[in-house]
Amino acid sequence: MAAEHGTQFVVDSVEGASDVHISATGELDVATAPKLEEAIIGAVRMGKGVSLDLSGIDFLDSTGLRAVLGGLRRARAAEVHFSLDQTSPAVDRLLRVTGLVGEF
Amino acid sequence: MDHNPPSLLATQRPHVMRLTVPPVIELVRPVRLAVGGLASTGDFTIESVEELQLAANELLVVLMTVAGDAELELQLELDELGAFRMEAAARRPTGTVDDELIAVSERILSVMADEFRLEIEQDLASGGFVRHPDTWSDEDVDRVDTID
Repeated sequence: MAAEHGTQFVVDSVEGASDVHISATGELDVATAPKLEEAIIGAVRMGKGVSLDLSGIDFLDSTGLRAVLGGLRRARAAEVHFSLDQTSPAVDRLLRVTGLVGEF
Repeated sequence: MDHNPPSLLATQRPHVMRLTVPPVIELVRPVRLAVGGLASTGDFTIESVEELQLAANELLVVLMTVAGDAELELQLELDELGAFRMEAAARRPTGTVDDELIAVSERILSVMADEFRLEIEQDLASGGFVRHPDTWSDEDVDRVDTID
């Protein structure tokens, strides 16, 4: 399953036995964050955990970060697994700046 | 009725890029690209250009959220001393004030810019930031005016 926003952002979801592996590439910002949010919500609604791969993200802003944090909150509320397995320098930078390193 | 109001960001300085941006979130990226393009002509490393783009993005997202239906006026400038300046404003904002978003964006701006301001009032939402060139010494920094 893939969702595209122009040529800048792609979300792929691969369903496993207990988790959905969601990978996103491109620029995760105010215009593209809803696509990632939608993928995470879809996984949690199926009762699945989420393993997130953001290694392909080359731009992340506060709204993209909020989508990830929103996913974490939803997963915790549904008592399913949520992990941020892979990051990129852009993701690491924002986690560092906002003091959220280690939150996931 | 005033059909042609004066700019919110009037300046006498030369070499200032002025943009009018409707409140459309898909236009945030093109503004980031313009910021990157202008900054890359100055004395900034690739990493600093990326940080400037992030700062510009945060300022724009906050003001666009607050602006609601209102257009944003932007000014981008490499000033005479090489500092990158961005100013943005929306007249009569009709959107929502999202305190959580503003707090995170202010945190990001405080790290990515040397100075920033964000002012949200009933008739005007505005903000701006300044980032000095990477090669500047403390003495150079002292010569620069603070943002208005």
